Amino acid sequence: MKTHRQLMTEQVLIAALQDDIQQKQAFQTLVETYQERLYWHIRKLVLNHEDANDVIQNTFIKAWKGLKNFRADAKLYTWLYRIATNESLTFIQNRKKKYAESFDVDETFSPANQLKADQYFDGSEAEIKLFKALETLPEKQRVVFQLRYFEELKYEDIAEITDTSVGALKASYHHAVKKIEHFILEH
Amino acid sequence: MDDQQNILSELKEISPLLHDLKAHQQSSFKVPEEYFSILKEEVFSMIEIGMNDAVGKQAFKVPDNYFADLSGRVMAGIDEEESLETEGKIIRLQSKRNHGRTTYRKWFSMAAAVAAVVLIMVNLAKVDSDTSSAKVEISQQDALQYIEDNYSDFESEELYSLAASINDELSLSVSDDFENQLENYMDNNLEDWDISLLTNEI
Repeated sequence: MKTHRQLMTEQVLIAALQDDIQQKQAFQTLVETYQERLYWHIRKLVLNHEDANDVIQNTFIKAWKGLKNFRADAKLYTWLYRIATNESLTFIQNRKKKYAESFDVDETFSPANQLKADQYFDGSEAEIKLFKALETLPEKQRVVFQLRYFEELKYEDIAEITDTSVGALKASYHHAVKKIEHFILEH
Repeated sequence: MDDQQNILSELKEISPLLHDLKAHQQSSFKVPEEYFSILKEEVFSMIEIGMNDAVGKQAFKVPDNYFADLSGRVMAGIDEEESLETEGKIIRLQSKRNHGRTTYRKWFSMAAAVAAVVLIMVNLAKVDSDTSSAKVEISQQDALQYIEDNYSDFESEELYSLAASINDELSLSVSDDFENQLENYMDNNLEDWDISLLTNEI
């Protein structure tokens, strides 16, 4: 027997989210449906679990508050990815700023350097190197790479999330891959 | 999502190294046990809190049609005030806001004046004690008790003028001990007082 969640297509869910009576129940379905995908996207941007937990909670709160502004013709998951990405980038910027203020050093904060000691990470050296390489990319290039490489999204969806043309995205992804390859070979 | 095969082919064309890395990619990031069930609950409870806050903002209500006839009631009040004024203008000598403070000041002044009178009586009794046939023994405690019991019987105007004249004619010296006792008494029995008020009045 199919669950309530499985029976609900995205369009039905969107309609329920915009209905005052069904809204709360529909939002619970939305959280249950997307929490894991969004969490892993956020986690690969911020890298540690505690930070990812903060960001995903903020993401859902923002989504809840922004339901009225959601366009019915948009895709629910690209909208959520967009919020999650923006929340993650804001979080990363604030974290960098706080680190610089607290330690008064020129050295850039690198969460990838702390992966080895992270109890919730058991990846290889090669993987740690990949995340160190990602830290060297410009913000937008990094997001494009992660959405394509890890999330395996279509360019059309990435275009919607990042508000960029597909052509520009393809070029951006190509450059990002090349830079990462270069970093891995050099380090 | 694009077909994973397409993504891998594209990647292989750009970078065989990253293609191999992705092909062998495992889930290296972990989460605490039951994390996603807890997350769901946390998100819902935060939303509940937010909803309650939103409800809280609308907690203050007004009676039906309150604003519709508010201006009418205000104008009626103004008319009433104006009709009273034509009968005889009432001039408030002090603002309501300062009324409580003024009452306190009056009380302090009266108490201070009585204290000064009693103090002088005590001092005079001590000075005359050698020549007087009947010794007058008034302790400072008795004096304070007397003030407390009787201050309301004195007319403040009389007390002010009496205290002022005594202060002019005698160089009144109050012992430190008595001043301390008076201060303690005021501290213990009055909510808000200022020693400078007391000394100014005397």
